[in-house]
Amino acid sequence: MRRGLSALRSLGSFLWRFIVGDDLTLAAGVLLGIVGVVVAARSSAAAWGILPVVWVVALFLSLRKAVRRGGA
Amino acid sequence: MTGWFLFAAAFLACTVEAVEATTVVMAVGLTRGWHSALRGTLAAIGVLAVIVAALGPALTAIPIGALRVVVGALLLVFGLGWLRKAILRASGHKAFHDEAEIFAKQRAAAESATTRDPGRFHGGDPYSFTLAFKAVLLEGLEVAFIVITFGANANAIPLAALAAVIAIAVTVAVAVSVRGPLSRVPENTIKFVVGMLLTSFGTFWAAEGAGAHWPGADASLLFIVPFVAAVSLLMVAQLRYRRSSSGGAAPAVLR
Repeated sequence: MRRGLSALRSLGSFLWRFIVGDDLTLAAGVLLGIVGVVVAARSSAAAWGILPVVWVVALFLSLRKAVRRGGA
Repeated sequence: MTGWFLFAAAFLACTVEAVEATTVVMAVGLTRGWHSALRGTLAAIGVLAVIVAALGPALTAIPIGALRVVVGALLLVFGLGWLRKAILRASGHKAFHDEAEIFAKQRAAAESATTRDPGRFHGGDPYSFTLAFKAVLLEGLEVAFIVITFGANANAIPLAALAAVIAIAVTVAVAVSVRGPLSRVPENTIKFVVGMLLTSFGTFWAAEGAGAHWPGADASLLFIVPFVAAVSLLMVAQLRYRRSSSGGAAPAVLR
């Protein structure tokens, strides 16, 4: 039981590092952008423009954070 | 057109990951012998083949709308991660990935490592096996994911797989002839390009899967890719300026 839980925790930790990587900002930005597109697509034909804008902001914030931390 | 982008993205992504895995396998093989290093490599390739064979058909069974939003989101997260590191490297805020240095470190570690109990490993070298297995599996996992998702989304898994096989074959052939690290491969530049392509495809598919309609449909990729490139280069320029105006060292040149 304990070994199973430990293996599950290791798998979860691996998947988190594999998908999210160094910085949660990018993954959160992508998620936010997709939710924005889903909401906007119901009423606007220009919903496609939301995702690029949101990830540009997320990338900018993530880079700024990395530079402040010393390039990590 | 999409086919060419897809082939280029899969080929370049596979090339950089293959170079990184090859560096570790070469370092271990040249230092401690090839038998266990190659066994570890083959075992990892076997695991990767099973993952691709199982996930490929499973993904194609998912409705295309759901597949595009999930896969697009994951590709976008991966692409932005690659792009983030590439921008930091190009602007001098992060050290370049140096295969020669990694090779030297791996060789030193392999030389100093002792084998605990080779008898329990059928006379093989568990250190070499484990290191080669881990390197190939971990580097290959991302490639397998890119190949499967790109292929499934564009309904072209064979094309993506062909790009991967050619990239790996070329990398291994060059590594065998050089018998050392592939430090002359412009890895940092390739990573930059792969990051841009993953981000472009991820943006296109995720937005389309979420219900948006791109003007010009597939042709909009002709605008998305240059847009991603322009944003990335602007961010490099901005970070370089910030670094030089704050008195930091001159940024390293992107190879």
